[in-house]
Amino acid sequence: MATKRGLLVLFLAFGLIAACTGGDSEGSSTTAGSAASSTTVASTTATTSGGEDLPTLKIGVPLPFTGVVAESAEEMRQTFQMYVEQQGGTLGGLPVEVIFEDTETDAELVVTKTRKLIDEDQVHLLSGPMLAFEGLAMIDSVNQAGIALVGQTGVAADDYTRLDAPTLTAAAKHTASQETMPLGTYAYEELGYRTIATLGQDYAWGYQTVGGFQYAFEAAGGDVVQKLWAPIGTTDYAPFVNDINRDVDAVYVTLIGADIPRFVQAYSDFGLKEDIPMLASEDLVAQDAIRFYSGDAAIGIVGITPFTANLDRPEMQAFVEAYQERTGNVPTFWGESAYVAAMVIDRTLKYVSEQNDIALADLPEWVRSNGEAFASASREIDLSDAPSSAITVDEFNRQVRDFYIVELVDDGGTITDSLVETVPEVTQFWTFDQEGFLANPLFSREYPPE
Amino acid sequence: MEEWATRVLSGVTYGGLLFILASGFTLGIGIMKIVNIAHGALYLLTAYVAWSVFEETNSFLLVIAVCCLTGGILALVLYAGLLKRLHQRPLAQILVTMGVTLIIAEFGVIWWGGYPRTVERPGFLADSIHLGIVSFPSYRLFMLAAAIVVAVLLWILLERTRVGALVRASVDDEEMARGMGVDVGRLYFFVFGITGVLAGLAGAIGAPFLGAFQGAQFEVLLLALLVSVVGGLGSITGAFVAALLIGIIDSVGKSLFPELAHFTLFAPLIILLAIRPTGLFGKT
Repeated sequence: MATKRGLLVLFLAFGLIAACTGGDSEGSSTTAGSAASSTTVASTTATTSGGEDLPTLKIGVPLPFTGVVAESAEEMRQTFQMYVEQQGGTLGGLPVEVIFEDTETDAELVVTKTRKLIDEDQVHLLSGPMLAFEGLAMIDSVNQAGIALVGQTGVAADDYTRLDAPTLTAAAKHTASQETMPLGTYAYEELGYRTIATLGQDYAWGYQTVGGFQYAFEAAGGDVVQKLWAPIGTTDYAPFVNDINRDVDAVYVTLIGADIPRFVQAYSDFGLKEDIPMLASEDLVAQDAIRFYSGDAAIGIVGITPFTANLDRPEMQAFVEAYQERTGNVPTFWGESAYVAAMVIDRTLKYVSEQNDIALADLPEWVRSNGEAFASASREIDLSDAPSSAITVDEFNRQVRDFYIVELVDDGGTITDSLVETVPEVTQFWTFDQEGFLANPLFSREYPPE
Repeated sequence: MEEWATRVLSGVTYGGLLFILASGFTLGIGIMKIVNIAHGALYLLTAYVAWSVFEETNSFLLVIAVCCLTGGILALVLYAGLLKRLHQRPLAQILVTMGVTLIIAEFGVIWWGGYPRTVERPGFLADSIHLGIVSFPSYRLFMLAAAIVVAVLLWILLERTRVGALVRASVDDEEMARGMGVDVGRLYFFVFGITGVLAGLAGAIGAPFLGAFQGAQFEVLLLALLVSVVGGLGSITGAFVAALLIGIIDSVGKSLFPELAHFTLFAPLIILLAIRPTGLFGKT
């Protein structure tokens, strides 16, 4: 207990400093107070037919269990464990020990915990993280150790395709611009919009989703006439709403967290909702945003998303039911990414052991020493039964999948997302030439220009 | 022309909220020299409480009553239990109230979960007023009206009541006040309770606008600090003027200088600290 108190004091001091420095780039401050927790999934020891015990595969999963996104991180822990349990406590035929580590939504701690998992816990591979900055913080340690990282939502940045990250597989997550480019094309061709104003959260996810939307919209013939950027945590969105050019055909929005209901409410309050349709990234049409809209301010928003629990797809319904039974809640894209990551690990293990003729007993060590080969092998597995869409993996170890354009509608008093169109098999390059796309700069605040 | 009018009015009404958020804090630090870092956490808690109460009862009046009560009681407990012993020890106060902040915030996660909550605006305040082609939300006007009422009431309390006079006397010269028979301890207890009530009011009125969310404990604290420092520590009038000014500068600034959107809220602070560090109405 003395250690726990000592840790508590340390975290209180840490919390003080963190609060004073304002936290990390994702705009959230730590609410330290609980000691770092590492929980493990109990593994059932499986034995080979010869009766020997199989070695345990150790997987390190760093996620921000304390901080503003704690609830979603917990969802990811639950879905990951759910997949493992559905396979009888094994992945790839091996008993697993999943070591979750709390990154506390802090960039430095992400690195510390990743190193701890690699060096002290001697994990055979990593999975995670949750937030974009966590991924970028971890990647150096991952590269140095040459250990495989099966990315979850935290590897959504467009950057990874251009970064040196040979042991990374992003089979469980699409890129930021991959999501919004189809919406840009749809806005021009199907909805007939010609001029658009954009409002993005002033950080990487905002830049890349807005950038993708703009790139595709303008390639189709449209014009983005105004680009606004809102700092994360903006308390009053009236200035932004009042600044929006009133002559545009539509407004495209990427915002996150508590900012979403604030903006949506202001948009309605100042009368724009009646005049100018709103298009959005998944953030505004996801279940965890829908839950917290009040009134009918959000009705009519058209967004694009990789995940909707209403999807008429048996694998999705099974996933939603299983998760509801487990926790009583409806899952979101956060949980699905973790679930698919576990699926990727499971099937890639089976694939490599078969392809390279590796005995199960030798598999964990092989995985540990062949991170790049493991990551590359994720391209070959069958992921056609992932909950939200059939998935294939491209040559950059990146997910190729269907996206769904949804509209928020009033379903007898509650808001729900209604499917408008399915966009099948979207790659990270959309309809653009791969080489040309990669020759362009990464989408940023300045690119594409207004 | 209407655009600028809307911008200024938006700013002023936002300033109204800023004042309400800051009022409790500035009262504490100005009158009692207590640095209550937990002020933001009190907002967080009462905003969540506002959500819960509104969900159950749909009565905004009840929300205000419950939140003010919650804020007041918590502040009194905080004072009696901890801060009373730390009179004139600001560093200790900061540490202690920081700890309280973390505890309250974590309690918020345990009880209400990690997701942000928005409170619905009560019926008649949910509409927008239509003036020609311009729509202006009535809730913002309500925030401004509430701010004016609070400012006036506080001013009356401090400047026109016997209690207020005693408070001011005790702050000026505590020994003398005690010598005259003033129960300074009880006075401070009462005033700190008022700061809690104000924090609760901020939660009730702020929740439909800002929401109840993890992170509020620091964001609201920052806003309160901002307004208090610019206005001059302890001056209610100063806080009121500062709040409106900051609201306007933020609103207009974001339009004129979109590249500086991160700083428009804090620009007044920087300018002021360079010119007049004690704040607009602070005592030099």
